[in-house]
Amino acid sequence: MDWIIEQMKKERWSPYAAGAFFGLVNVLALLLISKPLGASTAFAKLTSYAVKFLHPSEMNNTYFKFILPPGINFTVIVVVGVLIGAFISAKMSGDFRWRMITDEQWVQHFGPSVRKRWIIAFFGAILIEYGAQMAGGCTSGLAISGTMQLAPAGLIFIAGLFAAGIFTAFLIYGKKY
Amino acid sequence: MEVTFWEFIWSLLLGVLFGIALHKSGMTKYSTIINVFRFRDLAVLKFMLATLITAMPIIYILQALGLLTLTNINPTYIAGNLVGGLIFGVGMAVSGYCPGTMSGGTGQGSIDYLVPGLLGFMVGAYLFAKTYTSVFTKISQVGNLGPVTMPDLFHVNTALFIIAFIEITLVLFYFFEKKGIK
Repeated sequence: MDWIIEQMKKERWSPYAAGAFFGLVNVLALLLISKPLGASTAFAKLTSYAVKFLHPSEMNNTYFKFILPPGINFTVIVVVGVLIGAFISAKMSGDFRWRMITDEQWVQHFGPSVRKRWIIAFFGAILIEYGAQMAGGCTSGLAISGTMQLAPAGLIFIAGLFAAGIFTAFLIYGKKY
Repeated sequence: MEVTFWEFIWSLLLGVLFGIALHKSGMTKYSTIINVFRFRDLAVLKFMLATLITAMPIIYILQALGLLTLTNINPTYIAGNLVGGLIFGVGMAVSGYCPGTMSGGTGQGSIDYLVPGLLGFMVGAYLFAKTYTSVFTKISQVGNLGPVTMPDLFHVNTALFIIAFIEITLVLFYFFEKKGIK
């Protein structure tokens, strides 16, 4: 127990150790709920809810009606758990702070404008969820859950993700790349 | 609610552990994400590969012992997996988050994860729904292989495939550490 508390007080674990730990969590998911972990579906579920309340007529859409009807499925609960877990981890290691721009590197490159950060992040988030829905999962639900089950889909997604990520980072950072 | 009581409890617990892993590995920071694409900090790659080489052999052994049956293998439809990954990668490099880390970032107190992230994800899901029949139903038919696995597809032994994957990854890790690559 002391050992666990000591580990939780560290701000960072080595990525190898954190990865091994997360590998066990992914296996545990298969054993406990018979489903691989994922996160992106949760937001589609929530969107389905929002549409049902704000624009009920749009529920005739094939996707909302048949593929992802509104509801609280396990991914929504997982995503809430992630929030709680990161909160506990941040609190115990003294890393919890309210932040409008999370990262110093962002400020160095793009300046201190909160509006700029939020607008760029908003458009990035649109692409993330659209891409995840098209590919059939996100970094967790496809790259990890898919590849650990040896689905080619996982590796194809990882290849696309890194190719586009590297290209985009190159465009953003230019000479400072 | 589409979950039973125990599914609720387990999902919440798994989520908490997931969140701890994301925060402790630094995945909830913009710089960690963007710097893997700049080859300045490979924590994302190390984290993902370590996750995979831990999970893969355990899943294989549990299956071999008859303790686990995989019922949710992600379907492969090459064009959709790839184009989706490309769009996803652009979004990840621009914002510095992904669906899981957006939630984890919120847990560390980052409002720039919660507000633009949640709104953006919901707009993205909405746009996907609106273009579902015109885009997805078409792209998901290109190279549609269904829920196959790589050993099945390439006719190689599953254990050998996993051993090769682990060995290549370990060689890569050894190289990273020897060269002092962050």
